[in-house]
Amino acid sequence: MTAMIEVRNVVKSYGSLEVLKGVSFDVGQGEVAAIIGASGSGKSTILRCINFLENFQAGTIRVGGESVGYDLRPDGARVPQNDKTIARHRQEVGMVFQSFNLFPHKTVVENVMCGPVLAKGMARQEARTIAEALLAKVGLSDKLDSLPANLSGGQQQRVAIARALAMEPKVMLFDEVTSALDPELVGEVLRVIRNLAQDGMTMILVTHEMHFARDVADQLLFFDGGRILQQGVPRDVLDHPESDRLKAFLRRFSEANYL
Amino acid sequence: MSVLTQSLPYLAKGALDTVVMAALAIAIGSVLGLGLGLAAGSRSTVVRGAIDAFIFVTRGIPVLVIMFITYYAFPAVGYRVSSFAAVTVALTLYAAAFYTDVMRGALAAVPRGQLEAARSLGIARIPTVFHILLPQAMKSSIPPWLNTSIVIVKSTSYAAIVGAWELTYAAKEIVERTLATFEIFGAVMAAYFIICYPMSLLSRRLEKRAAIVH
Repeated sequence: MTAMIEVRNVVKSYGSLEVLKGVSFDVGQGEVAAIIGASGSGKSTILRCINFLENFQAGTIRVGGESVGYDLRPDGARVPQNDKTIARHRQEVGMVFQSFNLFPHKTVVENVMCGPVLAKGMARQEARTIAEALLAKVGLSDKLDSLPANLSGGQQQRVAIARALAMEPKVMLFDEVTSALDPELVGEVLRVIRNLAQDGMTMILVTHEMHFARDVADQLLFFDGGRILQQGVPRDVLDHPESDRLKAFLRRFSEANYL
Repeated sequence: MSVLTQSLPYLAKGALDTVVMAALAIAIGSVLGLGLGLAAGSRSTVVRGAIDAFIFVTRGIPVLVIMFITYYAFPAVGYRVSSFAAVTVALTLYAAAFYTDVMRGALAAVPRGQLEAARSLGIARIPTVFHILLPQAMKSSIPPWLNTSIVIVKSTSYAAIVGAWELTYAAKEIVERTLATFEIFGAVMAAYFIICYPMSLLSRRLEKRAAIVH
């Protein structure tokens, strides 16, 4: 049984600044992985590498068994893939951003139709049917023709999730999707993600919601300085931090939450 | 006062030529600016360099000098064109340089997250530009586009120096005949203002609307 997402020794640097220093992990089919860590630890960067919004200098990433971003020649050389291949990978990997990034000039339903119509060439009518079903699933059937600017943050983020799902991805990546939300709006977004997990979607969540991670994730990865310092079942990682770095991170975290 | 009323039809005819000249320069210049502004996002350094060179060279030359260049350039390569046409070509090139930069800037100003969202859905470059980036860039480019257009309307008056007949040239003719300097140029001032003021108003209104959106 091969992993749905396979990350091997990925190294990423911006000039001389190395932000990923050889990161490896697997996420199985239907599994949920949560990544925690301080800002600058490389946790968002690895997500962005998985759908190749960022290139990387060494290592391999496979999604559904296929190498992302680079073809690997038998002699071990990495050959950058062409735009078409990269676009095809991205269609299989849904991504949701901290800042929603909805298209402000399109209505809610058009936002969700965008991917199928523009990337897959699907007929508008068919795309609309899919979009309406997904918006019903995230509880936004009454907002089809609204513009994003007229929605709350939580509603916008749910549209963004529906937009990503419209491509029928094999994998969903969530990049701190509740960090920009008012506290009372976090729950509605987490509920949608929890439902997806129950439906068996393979997911990686970069998150600061420790309770949610403990609840929903099958494995938890603690990123620090571009490396994974500890990984395992969430309960074990959170209750038995091995490194001083993780202990300090969790302590700072609980202080920030309960002060 | 009678000088003015007698001259009004002639001035109106001049104003019409000014409007035609400006409208041609604005319309063709806008199309060129849109195309070049889009091409400025090309991956080819040669294309980008050529567009940069066009912008910087054209903007770095007074429009009057460009008018003289086109005025003499067409006959030099064997084409006989009217001074009106030569001047309009110059004005169009001048406008295109500014519009190109307006469009390039408006495209660059679309938040990076928009591009990333489109990419993450697997939408290819060209549909991303036309369906995601351009509609947003168009909206934010309207106020600077209008401002440039106002400058173009006023720049038509240089054509009088090159000898193309339009509002300012017509006024000069009347003044030479009647010596009613203040009346005539007062009327010319009013005419330019009447053409430009609605554009300014519109620009101001659209600026406010654009500010609310993002």
